[in-house]
Amino acid sequence: MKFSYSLIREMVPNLPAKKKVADELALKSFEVDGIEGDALDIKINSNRWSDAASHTGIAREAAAIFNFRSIPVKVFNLKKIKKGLGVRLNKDSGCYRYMGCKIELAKKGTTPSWMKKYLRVCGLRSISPIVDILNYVMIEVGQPMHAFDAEKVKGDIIVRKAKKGEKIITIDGGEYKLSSSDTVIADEEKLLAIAGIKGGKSAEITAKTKKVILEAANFDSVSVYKTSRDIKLDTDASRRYGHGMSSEKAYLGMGRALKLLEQICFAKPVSITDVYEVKEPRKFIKFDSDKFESITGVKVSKAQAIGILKKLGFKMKGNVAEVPAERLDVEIFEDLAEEVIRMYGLEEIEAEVPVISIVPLHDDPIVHFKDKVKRSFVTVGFDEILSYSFGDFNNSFVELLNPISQDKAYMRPNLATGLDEVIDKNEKSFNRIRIFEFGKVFDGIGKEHWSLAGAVKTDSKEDSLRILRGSLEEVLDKIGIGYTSFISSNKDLLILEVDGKEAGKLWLSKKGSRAFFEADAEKLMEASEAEFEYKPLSPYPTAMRDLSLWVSADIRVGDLLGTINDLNISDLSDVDLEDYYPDLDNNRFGITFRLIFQSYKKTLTEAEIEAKMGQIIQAISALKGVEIR
Amino acid sequence: MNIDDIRNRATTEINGAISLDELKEIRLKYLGRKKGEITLLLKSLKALSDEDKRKFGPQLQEMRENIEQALVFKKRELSEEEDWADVTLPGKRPEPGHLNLITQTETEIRRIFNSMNFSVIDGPEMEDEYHNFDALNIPAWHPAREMWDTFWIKTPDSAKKKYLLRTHTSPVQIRYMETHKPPFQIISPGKTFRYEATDSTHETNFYQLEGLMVGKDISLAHLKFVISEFFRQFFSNKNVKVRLRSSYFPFVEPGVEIDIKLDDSDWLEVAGAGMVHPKVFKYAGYNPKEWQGFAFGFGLERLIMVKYGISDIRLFNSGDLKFIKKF
Repeated sequence: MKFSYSLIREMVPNLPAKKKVADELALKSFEVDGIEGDALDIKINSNRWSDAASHTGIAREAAAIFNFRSIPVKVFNLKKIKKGLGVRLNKDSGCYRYMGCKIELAKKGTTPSWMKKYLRVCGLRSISPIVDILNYVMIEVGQPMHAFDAEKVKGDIIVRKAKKGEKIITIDGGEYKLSSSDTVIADEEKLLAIAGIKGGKSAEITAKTKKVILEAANFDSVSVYKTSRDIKLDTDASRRYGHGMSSEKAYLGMGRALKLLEQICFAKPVSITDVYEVKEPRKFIKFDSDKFESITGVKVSKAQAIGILKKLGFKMKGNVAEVPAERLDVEIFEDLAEEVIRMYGLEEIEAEVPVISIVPLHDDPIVHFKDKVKRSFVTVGFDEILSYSFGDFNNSFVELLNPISQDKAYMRPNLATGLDEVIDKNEKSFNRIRIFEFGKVFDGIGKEHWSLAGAVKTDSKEDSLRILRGSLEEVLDKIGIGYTSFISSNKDLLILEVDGKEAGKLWLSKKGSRAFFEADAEKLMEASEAEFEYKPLSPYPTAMRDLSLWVSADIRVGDLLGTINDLNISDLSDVDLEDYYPDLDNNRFGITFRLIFQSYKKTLTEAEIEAKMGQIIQAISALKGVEIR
Repeated sequence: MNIDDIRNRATTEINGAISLDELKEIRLKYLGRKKGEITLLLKSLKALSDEDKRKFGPQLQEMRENIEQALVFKKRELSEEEDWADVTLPGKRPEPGHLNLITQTETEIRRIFNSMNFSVIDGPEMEDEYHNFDALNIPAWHPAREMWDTFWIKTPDSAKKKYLLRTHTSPVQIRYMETHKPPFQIISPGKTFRYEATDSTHETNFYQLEGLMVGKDISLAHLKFVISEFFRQFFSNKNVKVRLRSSYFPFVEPGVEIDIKLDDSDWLEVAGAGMVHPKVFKYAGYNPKEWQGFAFGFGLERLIMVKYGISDIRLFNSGDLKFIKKF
């Protein structure tokens, strides 16, 4: 929000230079986004609009910071005006206070140049003397005002809820259809304004207007905010009411507007009405120095604290502070403490080592599991990807209500799709890609789980799958998952089973030589938490035997390994695929298995090993399409 | 002529040689300029007929070359190894994997906070409205909520709760307090989401870290210690200056912004913080008269960008392996 430095300085004449004021405001009050000419661009905290979205508000902050007094604005004495303007508030209108004042304009007047200048600095155009004065009152003291042409108003002013479907044309020509939750200003025949948001065409003031009804009111913030959103009409007034205003401010706004209208347009008040049935309660909070020290770690004297609060407009009786009406944000002791510490200087707080009893560390288990998995994948040469959680998924379970674009409308049901896209992006630069991601996937509304996926891309399908599978086996080993198996269920797919339960899948993609896996990381974590039992190394030597075969092209290595496995040969500790190559001339493959034998009880004799080999050779050679080399 | 015989003899002797001296002897014996067997044979060629010259000449030459080569290889073998290694060959680099810079940084941050007895707590990325907003004293229908541009989840009209993608890691505070009793100190790193246009400093998917410390007398001065210690370790810089500045977040009171200054740079805004708002304690089921504490939160990417001088936040989610492999 833009503020004029020179107007603030009129209110606090001895203020230092702009830059200094901006710097100090930024430390003690609000962020200052920039300085441009006379304008200070200040970001008013959203709980401080009621008091600080005005020059008088910023002047009060600045005066308190630099230890000056601010000069109050001059107002018209409203008590001198005859009461009697007709105003009715319906009970459910959402209007807390409505002040209406009828005035007569003796002269048209012109907007003074100083006012034009301040309006311009604050980003407002000069329109006509009356509109300019009311806008000026808004930026000066923070009260939104409105003016109706009194001769166009029939009978009483009525504040009520709109009828469903009731229409209004606003002064800028916009047409709005209202609902029964929207508050409106009406007369006995028609709508005059959308309360707290914008005036209507029906009672708009013009150059010919001689009699004016001024409005200074306060409306329910939620109601104004909702209406403004529903009808998509955001105005200076609606922003202010939407943040919440104090009803007390209407009195100041009306007094100030009349004063300026009197000076500039020689206006004369005719009659006034102030409908304000439920007064805002006064708020009193005790300042407790001990509690203050406990919260901030800073000791301030009672006198210091009281001095600060007084400068900010709090009325002090001993150490009890009466909160200024417009400080809607101050409700409890902590709010008061904030006022004192920010003005005293947050930068004065000295770091202090907390003295605490140690709580045993209780990191969530997933945190460490994730670490272990990620480190293991890096060890086997995989790069870690982090990708977007939403995208263009046709199998998603969760849709966004307000996606940033249609191709980012669905929550990811898996990670593999993202990895596939990463390969697309990188395959021109890298021959071989090995990547993984550990992240959340979404299973339904309010349902999500940690998933783990990996992908390999090489020049050959089989290489990709073998590298991926081997790396995954190594990682599963490293993270302490012992009992895994890969079950082949169809041509391009393997099911990963952990402890006999399905935990994930490995597959070959139809696109290029890409292999993928994805597993439920939470299931893997569960399996890895099972106790790890150390089996001591055998003290007896290992014996190796190679088994070389020709197999026809339709035979899968997995089936051969399965045949050997099914024999349950004792002391056969490992079977490695040592060699695997196509013999294209004969449409067959050459395969060499390396079988490793080792006993925990003794050194195996040659005869024992040969007997075991014999069993294996017998079983293997019995298979169709297999020939021992 | 017994060419094959000489070749076999010479080769056997060369292979059997065990020293360079012995090899020298063998060389003299066969190729010596004056008395070498092969040298003499070559000289004797002159006396032969043209036909024999054509027949034996090339054979003798070939044998001579074979033996010369055998001598060279044996000499290399017998010489010290380094004499023969080409040390200027380029290195062969392994192909290690790389952790994403976000993970590396998060791990480092967790280590620092673990060292100060903060436990690491995880929470859901798809949150309900209550935990993301209401329980953090961010009321519905107030512009304050506009500080968090939100992705909402499409739910059926009959749904009891509204869901969203968490706009900050702060809901983890509430979830943790609902199930744990103070005193404690925790951090919660994780993925967060904001509905906004992306550019070099704004992302829709990003990472945050939340801290919360609750006890009987935890104060802003303790916050300043913890956060200063963190930044000192994180930037490996003992002279990091930390400044608290007045600010507003509905879930803290007083609320502050944390700025840091690294050596000669300007002040950098890096985190939001404050004393937990009594209303937040009430929502979580604590008695605010009994407990007090501080909370803080910061964006991981911002810290990484400051630390490594990276200028575009979009690189982290880009999946660009050239970027990932750099760290």
